[in-house]
Amino acid sequence: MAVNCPSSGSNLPKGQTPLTHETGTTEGINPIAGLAAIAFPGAGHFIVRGEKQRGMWAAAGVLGLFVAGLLIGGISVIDRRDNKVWFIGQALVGPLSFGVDMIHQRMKVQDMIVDGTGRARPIGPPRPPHPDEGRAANGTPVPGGTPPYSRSIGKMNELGTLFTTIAGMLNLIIIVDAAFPTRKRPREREGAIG
Amino acid sequence: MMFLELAYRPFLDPLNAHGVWYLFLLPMSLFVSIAYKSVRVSEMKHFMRQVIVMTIQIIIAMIALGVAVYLFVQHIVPLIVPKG
Repeated sequence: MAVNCPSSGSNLPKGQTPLTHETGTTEGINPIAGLAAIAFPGAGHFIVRGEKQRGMWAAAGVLGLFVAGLLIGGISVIDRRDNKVWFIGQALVGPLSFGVDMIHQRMKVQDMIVDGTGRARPIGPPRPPHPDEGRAANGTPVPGGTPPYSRSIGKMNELGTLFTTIAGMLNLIIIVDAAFPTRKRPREREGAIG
Repeated sequence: MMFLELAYRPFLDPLNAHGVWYLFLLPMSLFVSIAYKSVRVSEMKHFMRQVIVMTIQIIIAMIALGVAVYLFVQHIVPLIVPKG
C-alpha cells in the first residue's frame, strides 16, 4: 500500500514510513536547542541536537563573519551606544557580541573637568580616543600617548559593521533552525541536495 | 598623523585596505554560504559543493548588480533627467 509523504504529498518508497516530529533526534521543537544556539553559535545543533558536523559548520560561518568583521574594522564596529541600530543585528550573535561591546566601552576615554570645589567631574559621555592621545588608568585621555584602539572610518568601518551584523542575522536563522527545524530528511527528498 | 605610523594591532585597529575593499566580497560570500548551507542542506555530504555553488552565485549576482546600477546611473538616468 502506497504511503503519502505528509509534507510533499508524494508517494514514499515501499517500506518507508512518513516522517513525523517524533522520529529521530534531529526533528521536533526543542527550545533547549534554541537557548543553546543563543548562548553560542552552533551549540544548539552541536550539543543539544547531536548534529556535530552541522553545528561546527554553523559556528564556523557565524564566527568567521564576526571575527573577520572585527579584524577588518577593529573593535569600534561593535558599539551599542553610538551605533544602536546596527548593534540590534550584531546582538543576535549572542553574549559574544555583548562581551566585545563591553570591552569596547571600557576602552573609551572620559573627558573630565575640575569644578570650583576642586573635584573632577565627567563632561559628556565616554568617547573614542583621538589618534594622538592615550588613556590613563582612570579613563581620562592622555595627550601624546598611544590610543588603546583606533576608531575605524570609511569603507573599513562599513565592511566591519556589515560583516558583524550579517553574522548576527545568520545566527538568527541558525537559532530558529535549532529550535524549530523544518529541514526534511534525505529519504523524503530523493535527489534534492539543497 | 601619528596613527598612520602605528603598526596594525588586530582587533584594535582597522585594516588599511581602503583601496581593495571590494575583495572582501569573497570571504563574506564564503562565510554567508557556510552559515546558511549548514542549516539548509539535508545531507552534510553535499555541504561543500553547495557552499561553493552558493559562493559563486553570490559573487556573480553582486557583479551583475554592480553592472546594472552602473548602466542605470551612467546611461539611463541622463536620458530621464533633463540637462541643466
